[in-house]
Amino acid sequence: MGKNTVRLGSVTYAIKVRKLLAKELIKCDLIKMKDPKENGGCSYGISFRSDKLLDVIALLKQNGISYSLVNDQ
Amino acid sequence: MIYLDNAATTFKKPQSVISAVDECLKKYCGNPGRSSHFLSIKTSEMIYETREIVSKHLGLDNPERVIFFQNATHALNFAIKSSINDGDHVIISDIEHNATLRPVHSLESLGKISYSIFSSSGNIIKNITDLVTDKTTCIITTGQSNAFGREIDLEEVINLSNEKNITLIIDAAQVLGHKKVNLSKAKNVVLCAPAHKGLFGIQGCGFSVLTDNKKRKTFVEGGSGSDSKRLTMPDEPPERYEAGTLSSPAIISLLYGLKYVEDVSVEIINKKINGLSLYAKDIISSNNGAILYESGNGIISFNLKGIPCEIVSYELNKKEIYTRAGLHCAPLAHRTLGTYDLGTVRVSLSYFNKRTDISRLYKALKEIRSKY
Repeated sequence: MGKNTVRLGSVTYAIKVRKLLAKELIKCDLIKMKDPKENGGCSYGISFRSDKLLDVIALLKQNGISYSLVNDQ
Repeated sequence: MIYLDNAATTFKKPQSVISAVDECLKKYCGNPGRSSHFLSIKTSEMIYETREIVSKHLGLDNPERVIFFQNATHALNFAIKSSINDGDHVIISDIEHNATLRPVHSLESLGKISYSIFSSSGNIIKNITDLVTDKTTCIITTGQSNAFGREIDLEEVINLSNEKNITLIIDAAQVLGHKKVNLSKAKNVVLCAPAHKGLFGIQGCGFSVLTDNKKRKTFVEGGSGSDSKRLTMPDEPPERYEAGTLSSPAIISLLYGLKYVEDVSVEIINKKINGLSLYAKDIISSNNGAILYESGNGIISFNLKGIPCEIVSYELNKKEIYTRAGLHCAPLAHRTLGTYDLGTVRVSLSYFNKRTDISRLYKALKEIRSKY
């Protein structure tokens, strides 16, 4: 089973999302990653099983959390 | 030793707070929001948990809108300077601490704003409303004076702020820990408080809690832990307003202090403090020559006739009874209560004080009275 990653920005939002997902019994890892934007740098994100992608996106949208999706791994 | 200066900082801290700070320093205190190793992530998680408990304690569910600073004064400076624009009119209460009065006065002396002062006695809502103009954008009020027992009904002022769509900044330094404040219906409030008073944390942490998602100006820029190539601070709170390394041990102490307060319950703490306040008022006023000023809610302000307040406090200190004398960084409050020239001796109580502390204070005051 592959993994998906979403970039969330600061550690605060990464932890917030991890807690939201935990309530829905979705496991994820908190990771530090490079932001490919020219004026980005680094950011925090979460990595999870790719079969949970739609659930994760729905939760992020429901909670008004900005994110960007990184390619499947 | 009898500690009666809890309005300055609570001295006895719950053991759970001391143990939590000890554990943090020994086991995991990395720099939160910077790295991806265990120490950094664990510290970040504990700080997030602190944001959660503070938000919930105030009736909210927005941990990311809990912003940490080094103390309540910095939190208030942020709240005031990020909420006000040039040409604005601001209204403050007549019992404000210098943490509010000085930044407001500083902005006024630079010609940026004007301000009015409302009376905290009588009909407060009318007193505030009478001062509102079409340029009024902000009301700033304490929940309770740090020098006297006078309190302000925050629920009423929150309702007024909602009705008039005016930002309300609350100095809750003397309120949290023994009074409940509910911001669930507040639209435009910034509440500021320190960790180290009624919430039983250690010094080094204060916070602002935002009820709106308005993007505010930043006043301190620096490292935020992510998006390092950006030349500006992040767009979203809390990191937008938290430049540099946070004081993790102090923030974690707030987590455990607030847990302690909630375990005991605000109502029980309030009942004990009010009971001790009544006893202290009775006993001090029975002292020959004692002048008692508006007291209650854990704060008893008095003078012994003919003896400067600093001398009374000095003599009490020799007996290992610790109080504070003078104007308590609140000249406005002293002017309002008529003690601007004299100052007062302030006794301020916490949940850890006992009736025997007050009895010993009484005995000491009798001895000071007969000495002078």
